[in-house]
Amino acid sequence: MTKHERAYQLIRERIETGVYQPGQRLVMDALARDLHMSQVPIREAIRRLQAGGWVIYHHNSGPEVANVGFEQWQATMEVLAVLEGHATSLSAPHLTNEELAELRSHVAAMQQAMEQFDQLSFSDSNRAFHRVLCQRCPNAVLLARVSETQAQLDAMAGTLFPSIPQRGADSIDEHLHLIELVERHATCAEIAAYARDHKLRFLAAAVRQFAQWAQARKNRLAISALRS
Amino acid sequence: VVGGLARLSVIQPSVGARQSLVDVAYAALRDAITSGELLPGTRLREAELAGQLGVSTTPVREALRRLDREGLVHLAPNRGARVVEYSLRDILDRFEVREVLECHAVGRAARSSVRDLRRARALLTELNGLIDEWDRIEWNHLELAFHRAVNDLSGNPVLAALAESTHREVQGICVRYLRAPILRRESFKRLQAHHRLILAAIKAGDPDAAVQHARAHIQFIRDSISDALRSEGAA
Repeated sequence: MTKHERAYQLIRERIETGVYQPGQRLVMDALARDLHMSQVPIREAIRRLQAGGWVIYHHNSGPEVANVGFEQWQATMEVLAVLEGHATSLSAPHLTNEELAELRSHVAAMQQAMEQFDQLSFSDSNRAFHRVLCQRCPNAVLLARVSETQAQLDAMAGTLFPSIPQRGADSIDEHLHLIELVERHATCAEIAAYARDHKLRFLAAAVRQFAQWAQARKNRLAISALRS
Repeated sequence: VVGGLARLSVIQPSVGARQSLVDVAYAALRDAITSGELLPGTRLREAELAGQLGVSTTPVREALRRLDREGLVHLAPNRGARVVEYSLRDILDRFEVREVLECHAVGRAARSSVRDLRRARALLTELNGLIDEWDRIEWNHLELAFHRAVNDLSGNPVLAALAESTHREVQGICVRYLRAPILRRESFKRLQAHHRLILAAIKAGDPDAAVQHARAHIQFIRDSISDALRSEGAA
């Protein structure tokens, strides 16, 4: 393995594990000392990290660890969709009639919350629905990854969104369809794909919403520039 | 694996840097666990470890937290830390997580419009060189890097990072539990054939084939490991 590959891996791992925090400056001298390498491979590694979005470059202060932004949220949400989709398909054959009834009551609560424009309850019931849907998944490692990923998203979402956009009626139909798939013992692959795509459609809605906010912010800035 | 960790433990404390002390404690403990010096189930007492490593308990505690996140140590509230014990079930569960993540990643990679395979190809060539000159530690390092390079082509670094840490966990478990080599030389040729097929499918923009080869690859390793564990009676 080349020196710069090694430097790249070590620095990236430290960013991923939070040893180097977002916003922290990456000083060449210190890195060279820490990694026991010359600055040449480190400079090369930093360039690659910059291309990958791990590091951003400031003209006056040099490279620093990038802040998590919307892209990080988007990437994490996709991971949750994939993990939760699979967990759902493994859990489905083990769900009891009582649990299916519980799932229906959560969908009814979502319906009610939507009619009352109560986004918070809608979110809570949605979360409760998916928790019950996955809870019989026999793969404990998978379930642990699902909840860790969910926790990471929760930590980011607060800073990114004034509120998470909902898809209302479509989303409720999809939840009902998920119950139906479980009841008619659909194949593992079919349930996994549907549960995954259900989350990915939410992600796509969030991406559109985020783009609209960004555009609105730009417009506001343009208007205030015209006024001044 | 001691050699592999010796390569990692180039991290030395710079004067007064608390973070570096955490790195030192972390590397030393990881080394001791993955080499089998600290056996599964061993109680890890902070004060004792701090004394042995010549540091205070604060960096030891932080290092134990990192090892807990990586699945090498189990931290129970009020009951202290222990080196994790694994069953065959834990290993199979991790393989399933890896399969789900990597199959999604290679499918995404094959659908993506930018497919720069140069890094993955370079690592593939390096792996080829190891088949004749057998070096398990270097193979483990390079295979991890190869899959990371492939999964990075998905354009989702969070996905690639999680697949990598799951892969690393499985490698760590196998190294500690299996005394005999898991795979024969022919098996490595087969793994390399899988690697080549995955890259070819991504290059051809064929997501179904990419997913199929990634799945075959991961299941082949999983089955080899579970056979080896069963025959060693470790499970």
